[in-house]
Amino acid sequence: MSGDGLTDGRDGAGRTAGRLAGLVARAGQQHGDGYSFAFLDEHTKRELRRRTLKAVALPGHQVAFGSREMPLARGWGTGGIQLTLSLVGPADVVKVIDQGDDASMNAVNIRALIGRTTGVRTTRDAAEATLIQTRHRIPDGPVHPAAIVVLQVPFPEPLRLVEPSDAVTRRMHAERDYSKMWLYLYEDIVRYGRISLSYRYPCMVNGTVLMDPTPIPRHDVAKLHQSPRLHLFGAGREQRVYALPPYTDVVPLDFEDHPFETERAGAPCSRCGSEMSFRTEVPGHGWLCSDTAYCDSRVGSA
Amino acid sequence: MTGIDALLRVRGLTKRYGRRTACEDVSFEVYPGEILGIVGESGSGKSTVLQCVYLDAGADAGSIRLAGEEITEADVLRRRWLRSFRMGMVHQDAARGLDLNVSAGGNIAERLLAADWRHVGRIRSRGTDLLARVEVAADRVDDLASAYSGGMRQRLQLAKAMANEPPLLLLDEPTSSLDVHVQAAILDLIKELHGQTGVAMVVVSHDLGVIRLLAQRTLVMYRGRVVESGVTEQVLEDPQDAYTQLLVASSLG
Repeated sequence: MSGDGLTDGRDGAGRTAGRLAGLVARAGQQHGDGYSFAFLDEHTKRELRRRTLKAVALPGHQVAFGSREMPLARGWGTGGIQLTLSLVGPADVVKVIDQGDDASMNAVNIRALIGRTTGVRTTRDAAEATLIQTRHRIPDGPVHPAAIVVLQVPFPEPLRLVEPSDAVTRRMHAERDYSKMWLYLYEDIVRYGRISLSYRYPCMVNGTVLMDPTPIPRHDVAKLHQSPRLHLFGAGREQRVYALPPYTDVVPLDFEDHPFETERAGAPCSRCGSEMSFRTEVPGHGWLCSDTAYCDSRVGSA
Repeated sequence: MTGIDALLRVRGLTKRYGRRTACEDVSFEVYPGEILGIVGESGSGKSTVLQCVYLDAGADAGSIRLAGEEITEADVLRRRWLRSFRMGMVHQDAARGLDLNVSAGGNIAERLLAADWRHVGRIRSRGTDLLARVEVAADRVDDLASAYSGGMRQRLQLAKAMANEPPLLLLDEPTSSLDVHVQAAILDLIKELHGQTGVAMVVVSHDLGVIRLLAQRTLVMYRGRVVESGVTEQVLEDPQDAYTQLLVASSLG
């Protein structure tokens, strides 16, 4: 190992990082070089798939898994990348999204890791991708009918908002006792006149389990209900995986007189003119699609 | 009382904490619409009896039938339902019965939400109605429970306990932590609510004045056992048991 210079204290941080990147690159080319296909060893991937299967069998239920150390800081998608790497096969086409953008540093790095350790093709086109790892967004345009969507999860526990203890939240799930969450929403309406939650909007799955849909906007929460695709949720730091199999009921908590509402943008996208996409206001540019690949495809085809 | 089924029937209730026996072989009935008092000194087991009935504590032996249903073996879901629709509890310490970081209306709402109420407007107006019944002004409905005074917290506990109109209210020293003036007002209110709704009550108190004012029948407990029971006036005016005689003689009233 000393020959690699990785542990050499005299080596500058930049040079170490460079060597590490080189190692990863080489691993992608020759899997016999200490790294397995898709970085994780076969036993780890099998264990992750087992946990994922359990999660699929129990929609919305949080399943514990032994989260591995990844060449990625915790909180940067270690849960998502482990699920992705456990599922990716040589024929897959992979897309990675960070906040609707395929070009952000986090997305680029995760995509590079997947690409280099598997050699699979990557894409920006959601209609072409068979495996999509995403943070905070679900693509706005057409998505490949058989795609698996892997969401990165910072906090898997929807009841964390109202209850700090894990022992208590587990009991609340077991007893289907969600009155505290309902009370939170009631108090929110009494105080602010509306439900002020803008992300991590709690949803009932199949009418039984309360689930955190991750910090996707409410615009995307609405897409989960009866979605034809498999959605997987991986929380690396919290060591939990949960899933929504295709055509699962996902119903946001709401009241008869305060129904769940998605965000409303102030104007169509100033770039592509979309009125259907999730848009955010950018100073000096007006309202723009948050999903850049979707926006680009519309501009390109126009 | 022949022909009327007891709302609550407790038989041979025994509860131990380790080697210490909190109550032993306690039996009594509560009939629909009546107020039963349980009196005794601190540590006599009267609160334990109430906790067992409310299913906060599991009985070691004995039977508790509520509206004909044996409840000692109720599972968690049934227990939650019973504690909302069959009985309500008012604790001496309001912090045990209320969430102080939630609004008064929210405290009541918790019960209604658990009963699948899903309309904020209706929940709020029901909360306001209930608060009016316990004489709390409608404009205090959105105030945090922590902003309520001691007396108002007891009123709020009463409103919350009655949210789903259970046939039985359990009151554990409902006025003991209040000053004398507020005590009188709360006792009046309890009497009035009883008159209006006909809800049955079990009132636990060490204060003979409270028992005398509220209870039609009374149990006297001493060292975990019932030593005397009967119509309140009879028990307090003509006590038969030596301990009851001592208790009555030592009371200031």
